[in-house]
Amino acid sequence: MSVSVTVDLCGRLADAHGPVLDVEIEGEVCTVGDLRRRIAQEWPGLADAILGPRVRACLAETMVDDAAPVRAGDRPAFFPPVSGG
Amino acid sequence: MPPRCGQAIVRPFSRRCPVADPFDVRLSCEPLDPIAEMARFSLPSSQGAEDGAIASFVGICRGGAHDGERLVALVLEIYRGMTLRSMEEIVATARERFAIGRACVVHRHGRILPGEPIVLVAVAAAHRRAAISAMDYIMDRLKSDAVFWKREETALGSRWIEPTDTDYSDKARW
Repeated sequence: MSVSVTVDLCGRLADAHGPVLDVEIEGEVCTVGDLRRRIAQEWPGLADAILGPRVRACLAETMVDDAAPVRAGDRPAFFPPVSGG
Repeated sequence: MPPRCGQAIVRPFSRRCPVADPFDVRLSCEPLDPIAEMARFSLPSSQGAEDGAIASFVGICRGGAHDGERLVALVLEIYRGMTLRSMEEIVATARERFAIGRACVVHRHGRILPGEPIVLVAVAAAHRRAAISAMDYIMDRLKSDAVFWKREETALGSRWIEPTDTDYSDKARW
């Protein structure tokens, strides 16, 4: 069984494929790290950035690490380094 | 996806009342009017009994891009509640570090034209040194830590901007 997770891409990450990706994940839960690898597989142009250490993950408006679980209905986001105001 | 203008995170007016909320932190996709904000912030009825100084800073969108081209527009993207929360955290830290009584921080997002104000920081304190230092601190942190992604639009296209070495060294002063 797989579910679709809507992912927001911020800043320059949105340049190639837009600010929103619908990502299919196996099962009802995966980790942020799994999600990064799934995106890199599906959208190779994003691989370097999304797998790199400078892009941080955000879940429920909190910064999370790669072990954080992502469930169906969550809306994770990936942040490139911020520009500041 | 970054909120569009209709979803702007702008606090209701009652939250802006300095008496009710002496630390007023806002985002706006509408043009910023620093004179009106400062008039409100400086009203005698807005002041705390201990206010002896107000320091303020207005950041303006420059007409030149980083690559030397003429800037058409600066676009500041935000992310949901994260951007406002990052601004609030900066102001909360300023409250802990400096003896200040009130602050008003208003930041634009969206498409900003050269010459338009981007940010206003106003701080009131009993004494000038705390007000000036806190204003300086808040600006330095906003320039490097606030959750914004900034790109410059010129006749040659669009280019993302990251904090400069000067922005990082300014922040390191604190």
